[in-house]
Amino acid sequence: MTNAVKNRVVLPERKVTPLVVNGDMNLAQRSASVTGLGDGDEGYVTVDRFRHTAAASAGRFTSKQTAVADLDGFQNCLELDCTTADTSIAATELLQIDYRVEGQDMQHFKKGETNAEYITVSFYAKADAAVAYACELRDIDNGRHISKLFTTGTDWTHHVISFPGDTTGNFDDNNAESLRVSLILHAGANFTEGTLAAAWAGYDDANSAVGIGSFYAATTRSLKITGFQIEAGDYNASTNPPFQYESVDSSAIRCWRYFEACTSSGTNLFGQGYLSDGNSRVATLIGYHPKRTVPTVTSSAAGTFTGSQGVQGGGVATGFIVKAWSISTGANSGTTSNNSGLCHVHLDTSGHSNMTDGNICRVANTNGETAFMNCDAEL
Amino acid sequence: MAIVYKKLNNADSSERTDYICRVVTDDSDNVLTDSWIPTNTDNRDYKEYLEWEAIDGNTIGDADNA
Repeated sequence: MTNAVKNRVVLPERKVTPLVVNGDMNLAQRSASVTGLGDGDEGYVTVDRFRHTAAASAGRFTSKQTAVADLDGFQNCLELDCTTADTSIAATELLQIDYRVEGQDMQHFKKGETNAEYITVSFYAKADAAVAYACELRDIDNGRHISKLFTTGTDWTHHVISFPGDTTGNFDDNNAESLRVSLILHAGANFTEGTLAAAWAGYDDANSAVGIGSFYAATTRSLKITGFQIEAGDYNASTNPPFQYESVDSSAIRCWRYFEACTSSGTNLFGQGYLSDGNSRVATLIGYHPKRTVPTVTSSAAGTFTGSQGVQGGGVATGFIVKAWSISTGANSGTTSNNSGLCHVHLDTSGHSNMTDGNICRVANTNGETAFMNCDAEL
Repeated sequence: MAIVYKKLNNADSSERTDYICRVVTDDSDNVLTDSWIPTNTDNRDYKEYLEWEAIDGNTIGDADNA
């Protein structure tokens, strides 16, 4: 017998990767704050992965990533502030915060099977007043939904909302959107004139948000959200699994599957590549992280990029303003083997003299300009 | 601010079928952003384009790059 057991290192239980990416709202690649929202669908504007789905309204709001000082364990939240009220609500008006999940990440919920798992959505929220909003699960693959109301408080409240499993309709096992979790904050009659879909049923927008208040009721309206979770199983506030924290790098890499921003200002290097193709183009400027699907690449105006040619050993650079760019490949879709490369971007220097194929070229923002390239494969 | 969809050409002036372009300009026609959108229905920007194109009168512009 030995006493080795007394000296063993007991490792904590391995944490599982949370289904929700950026549930603690720590990453906001696009912007920390955007004002004047609400005149149409706004998409992803601030914190990563949380979509602002809207239909035009007279109401306006600001979305921002806000530091949290009064909720232990969380440093950031998504905050919405109403800046223009709208009390004359047209039938088509809508404002909701979506979290959209790929089908291949939802298979363990066993949706459509006789032993389908409960789906529990939980989050912390703090508002200006007690207001009823809806939390809706929407099965995009099979056109089904279920919805429950929750009421905000003026202090941080942990909302734990459990939905029964649905024995009808499997989630597709692919990289497309299968589950949409929506917090519906404002809705016109098209979304409220029916009976709340308290049980899974075929999607009927009239049953989505029956009985909710309105985020646009007054300019005092505000809502903070953080600690967003989706769990397989039937939980309540006492039994809900604790929020699974991810390291900064793990969370960022998972966010980059959907959106990746690269920005240069001041005198920072934006990227580097080499001159090739006989047309003096800079190739392989950026090797983005593989994406969910072939992404949209959005850049600032071509003139915001400046390239400089150099040679190994300290050759003097020749500067030029980048005139155009193009994409050399798609990105890893995650499901096909023939499209497995990183997303590369070509900066086209055609028309500039003194460019020599094979030379290294560094690219930065043009002096005084901010250059960016965003790679977007969001749901 | 204006949003314009355009076709894209290859270097030999043939039309690209893998991407379209979306250009956002300010009130003075300065380019704010330039997006290359893959013609892939998994891409939400392309789905938005298809919805836009389905509206009567909306037509993508010709390419302006060689």
